Amino acid sequence: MGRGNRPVVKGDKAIRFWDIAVVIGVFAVVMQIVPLLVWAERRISALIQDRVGPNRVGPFGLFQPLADAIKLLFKEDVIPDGADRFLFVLAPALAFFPAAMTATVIPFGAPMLIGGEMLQLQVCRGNVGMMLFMALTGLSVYGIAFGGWASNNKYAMLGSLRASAQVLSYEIAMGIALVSVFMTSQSVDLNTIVADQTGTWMGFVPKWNVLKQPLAFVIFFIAAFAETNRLPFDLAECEAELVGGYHTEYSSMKFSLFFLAEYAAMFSSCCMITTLFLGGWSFPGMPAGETGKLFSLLTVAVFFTKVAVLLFFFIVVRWTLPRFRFDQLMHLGWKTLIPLGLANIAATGVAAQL
Amino acid sequence: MLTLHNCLLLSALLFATGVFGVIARRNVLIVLMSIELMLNGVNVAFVSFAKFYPGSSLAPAGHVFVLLTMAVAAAEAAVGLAIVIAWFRNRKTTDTDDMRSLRW
Amino acid sequence: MRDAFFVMFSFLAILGGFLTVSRRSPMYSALSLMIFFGAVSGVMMILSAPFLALMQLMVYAGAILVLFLFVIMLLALREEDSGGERPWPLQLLAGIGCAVLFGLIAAAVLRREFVAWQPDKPGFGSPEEVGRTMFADFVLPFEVVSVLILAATMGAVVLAKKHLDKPEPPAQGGSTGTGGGH
Repeated sequence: MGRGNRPVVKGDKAIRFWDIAVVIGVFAVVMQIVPLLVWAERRISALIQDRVGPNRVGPFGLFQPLADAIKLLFKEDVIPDGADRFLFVLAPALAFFPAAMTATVIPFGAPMLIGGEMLQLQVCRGNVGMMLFMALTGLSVYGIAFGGWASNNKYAMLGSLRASAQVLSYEIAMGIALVSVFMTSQSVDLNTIVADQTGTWMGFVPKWNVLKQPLAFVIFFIAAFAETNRLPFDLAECEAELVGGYHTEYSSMKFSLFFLAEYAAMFSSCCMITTLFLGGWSFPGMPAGETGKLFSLLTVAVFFTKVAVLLFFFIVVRWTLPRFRFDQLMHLGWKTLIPLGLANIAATGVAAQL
Repeated sequence: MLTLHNCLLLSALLFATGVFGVIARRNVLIVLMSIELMLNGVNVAFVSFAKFYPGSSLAPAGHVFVLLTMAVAAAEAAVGLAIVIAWFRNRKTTDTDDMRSLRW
Repeated sequence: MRDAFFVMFSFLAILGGFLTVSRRSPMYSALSLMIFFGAVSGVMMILSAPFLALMQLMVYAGAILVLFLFVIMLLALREEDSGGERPWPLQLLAGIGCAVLFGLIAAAVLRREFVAWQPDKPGFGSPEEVGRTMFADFVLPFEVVSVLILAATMGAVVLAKKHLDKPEPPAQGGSTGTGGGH
């Protein structure tokens, strides 16, 4: 046996050095992508509004997030009178935890042959990754809900009220869009879904789910905007109506944890859209069954290129579109996206039987 | 430690806690939460029996029952909370002892 | 290892359950219920039901509990709305009753001998297998549940709507009244 006298159960493999490396690597990527995103958001918004944007700290202003972090760390950490202290302190952590966890289910690249064993570039393996993603998306609203309630401020509370209704409604639309993807790929395993999208039609059109399930892609994409509380759906923090929404009373590092959570959630959503609809790490003309290290790194690069395009789109949308009104948001979710998603499932089922 | 006995004792304890919440509390929201506690206690029992007596099936009936319980719990929570909202709008209270307008 | 996790999650579940029924503020009850749901999900994970464990998180923690939070915030509950608590002798009586209930179940359980822990067959409790069982042997309950959910959806909307006969007033940006039934 070689592993003590424990019975060997399936999935009870010894933890290897490279597995731990993958865990640390994914966590580091998520942590590092967030300041980069903040910088990108500020530069792109400046571009759109014909301004210069942050360009003083470091080359192209790349160290600006560092300066921001130092500024936030040294700010006074105010807990308002009348706030519920315990929940007030707990809420930012509750917001950040699911957002940082979500990236663990993403397969970032092709499996790598290393030290004679296959290494999957994914932290949470197994076929329930998609459910974990949905569960964590659902959990991400707690930080906002508790934060707004604990602040004892009517604007903050209105923000959390909106956020909880919004996330609840759009998670249904998201799940319904997912079901049709599962039907097309005939699996709930993210690795199988990626493998299903390799190959091409007529030699150059990639078999991505965005072409097989365009309606599901649109629904999932819109729902992802709503789940991450990004404009045009940032009703939870719209500064024109609610001062700052749920984080009105927050300052210093607690505020920046909410901020980090939003960007981490945006990154994970883009990773998920890439995996589900844009072929994940695969690219057209890819050799099958390749397991080299260089090839694996190339697929990781391909994956991040796709994610970067999506993130760019997220940022451009934020600085282009006006904000929805809350009743319009609810109507879009319940009366448009959910019926469309259900119709899409029915159509997929009929098409599969033809 | 991980025996069916302990799993069932856990399940029973969670169920009893839920029963206590339903009987002893007057806030209707906490009563509804206690009902969720009871349903979850039952779910634990279903999953443990499915684990220890799977028969030949790879997903015994207990697993399906848990899914059905979840659907029922969701429906119950939605309707229950809608009633709470309607009640609170009219009477400005969440006290179960005040809900006696159908009693004569 | 497995035992340690089982003990930890069981302890968390029991603690979460006790806090849920004993906190005065519904918000803290909801927080305790979140701990409870997470712990029960962990117990299910140990009992080789990964799909159910994540469905538990998705449905209970991700949907039902958010609904509870939404209602607590929508009603803006203050301490005086919730009324008082029952007098302590009644609470004690209820506690004794529940202890007796638990004791009866425990006595019934402990009288039996059960099989010991055994390793799973590959694929046990996976989404594919649960789906196969559900749609092969339990189609009728599944369909009945779908009717139940439809009825509950309509019931919730009707119950939570403000005016049934009058058309809804044009909602302003801050209005959240129509979202209540969801």
